[in-house]
Amino acid sequence: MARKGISNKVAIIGCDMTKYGELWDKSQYDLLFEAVQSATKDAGITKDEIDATWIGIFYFFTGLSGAMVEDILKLDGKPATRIENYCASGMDAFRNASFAIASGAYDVALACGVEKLMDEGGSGLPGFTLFGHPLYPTPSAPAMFSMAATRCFHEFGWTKEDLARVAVKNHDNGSYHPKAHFRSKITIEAAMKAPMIADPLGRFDCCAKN
Amino acid sequence: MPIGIKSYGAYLPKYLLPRDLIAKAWDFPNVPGTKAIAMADEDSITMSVEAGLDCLAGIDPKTVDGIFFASTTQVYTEKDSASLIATVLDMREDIITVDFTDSTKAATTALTRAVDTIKANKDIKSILVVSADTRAPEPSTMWEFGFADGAAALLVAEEDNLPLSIEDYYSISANVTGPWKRANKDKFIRTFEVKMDAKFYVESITKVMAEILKRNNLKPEEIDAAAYYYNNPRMHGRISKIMKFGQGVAQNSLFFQIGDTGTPMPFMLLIAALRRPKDDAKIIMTGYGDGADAILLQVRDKGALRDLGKSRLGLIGHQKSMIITNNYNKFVDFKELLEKDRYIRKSSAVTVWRDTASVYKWYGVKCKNCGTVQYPDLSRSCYVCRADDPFEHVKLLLHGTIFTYTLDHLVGGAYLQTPVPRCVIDLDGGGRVLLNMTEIENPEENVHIGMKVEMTFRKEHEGAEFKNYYWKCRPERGRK
Repeated sequence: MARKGISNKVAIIGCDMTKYGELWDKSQYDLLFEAVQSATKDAGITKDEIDATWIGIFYFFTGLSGAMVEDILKLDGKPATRIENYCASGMDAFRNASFAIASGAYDVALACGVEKLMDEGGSGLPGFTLFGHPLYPTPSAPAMFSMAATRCFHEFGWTKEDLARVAVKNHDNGSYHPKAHFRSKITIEAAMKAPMIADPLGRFDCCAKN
Repeated sequence: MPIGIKSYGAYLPKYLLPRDLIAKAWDFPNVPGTKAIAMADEDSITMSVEAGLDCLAGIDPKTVDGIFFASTTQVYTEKDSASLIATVLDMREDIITVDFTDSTKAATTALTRAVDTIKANKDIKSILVVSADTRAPEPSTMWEFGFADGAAALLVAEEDNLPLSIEDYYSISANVTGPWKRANKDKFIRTFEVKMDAKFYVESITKVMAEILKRNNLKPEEIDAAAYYYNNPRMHGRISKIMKFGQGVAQNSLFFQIGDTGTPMPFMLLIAALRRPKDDAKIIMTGYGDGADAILLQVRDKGALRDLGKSRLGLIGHQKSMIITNNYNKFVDFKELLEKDRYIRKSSAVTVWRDTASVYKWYGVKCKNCGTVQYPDLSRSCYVCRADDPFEHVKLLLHGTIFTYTLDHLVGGAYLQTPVPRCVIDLDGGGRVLLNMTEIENPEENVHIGMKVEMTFRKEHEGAEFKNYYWKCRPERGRK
């Protein structure tokens, strides 16, 4: 099986993001609009120079999201593709846009992604009861990963403190980023004492909803 | 060939509610003892499955020719329960299934009709009669002290060497308005005048027992055990006196510990009476409700009864693993008496039907190429060797060990009775499954890798407006 990468060169000519946060006053459409506006500005192009778009989005399951980016920016007539691949959806939008450029089909492609989870309320990821099998258990996202943590603790002797160090490092990184949701540093003790989300993963071991 | 009881089984839920908590909650005079309370994920179908599994331990369910289900708390009024219980117990398709409902004597009636059915059909050699009730008492009424939850099952069969034979049975009918529950209106049981209820009870139950003695030329002193339904301990002694039964004949051990379990109570009392079987002992079992049924049984094989006692949880086995709750609100919660959002999920009767083998009958698949047992059977390729379409269905076992787990606080995107332990279980005999855990206190302390668990059939949710059931795991209670 060949894993050769792409054979032509592709460059990122501009990028940006919105601030992360609860953002009660902004819709999914606002966020996408603002991110694309500042990315095109960063690239020094106008939106009319975009040949095609890829959007990574998981919520919600509208089936219309490929068209959503066209609709918001009024890029009518440009090919639009939605990528849905769990938490890797955004990265996968970028990967597929890169393939499109490398193939020579387009000169400029837009890869973007958006979620507005707080519009569905704050209790974990929404929708787990809306799809899939009616009976097999549907653990929350933290619960799925935490089962691996439980077993690793058991098998390799890892501890909650090992996890806490990851959270401390991530918060430290966030503290330097002007668009991060949380810009405060945390201590190992705080990470370890945080309320449980899915044992042994606590609040600081899981993504904040935003 | 004789017809009799080949096997028995019972089920009692995990929790006992002390009656003084009820008295304290409403400032009532105290009634001693405890009563068994089912959890919110249990109903008469799930409890019948438990009693059926207990009864059929060591017996191939494919050899049983029918199932009769008896309850006053059937979960559907159109759609039977017996066929669902038969499916979960992995019985054959060419069997008879009947629900007996609407009266607390339904279990004894079902038993007599099972005998008739076997007598009348040369192809029907055995019928599983299973009974369960989960009657919810209206809060702040005296019914709260009595109503309890549980199930029991008797396997009726026509064959030689039965441990217990059914010698005779006799029924009477009596129309009395009390207690009742209107089908179209009442959430709880009502009554008009308990003294009138008691009068009809005493008359019916003594009349039916006197008649069965007379028909069989028996004197009261020739009866070794009497397992008759009662919902009031004082009434129990009064019946014994009227019938002139000897000391210790009337089986009475249940009310103060377990409560009034309704329809399955005569079966439970019989099981209790079989604990120390005597050679050729004659036993009367009596059910009451709009009349009464009396059934005369005789011990035929004391040793076989003792073996049944050892190889089944029965009553004692369940009682050993019950725990007393110190919180009355647990009862309110279990009975879902508060109007609040319940966990619900999208469902499909099509999906559930198509996956019957895995979700109800507890089958997995075994790879013919590499031998790995796996679950569920959604995939068409082997998890381990990746062979395509290599599977044959195999029955999974109901015991296993926790491989890993988490305690999930985000159930269904809402904070509903959390945390829920999600457990990855390595089943004895092969197969790795992901199931939620029930019957667990303080999961932070009590769930761990390597823990032994049993699978139990439970109510999950009411998505698509029907009852969705599936398996959960629980800490071991010792089911064989």
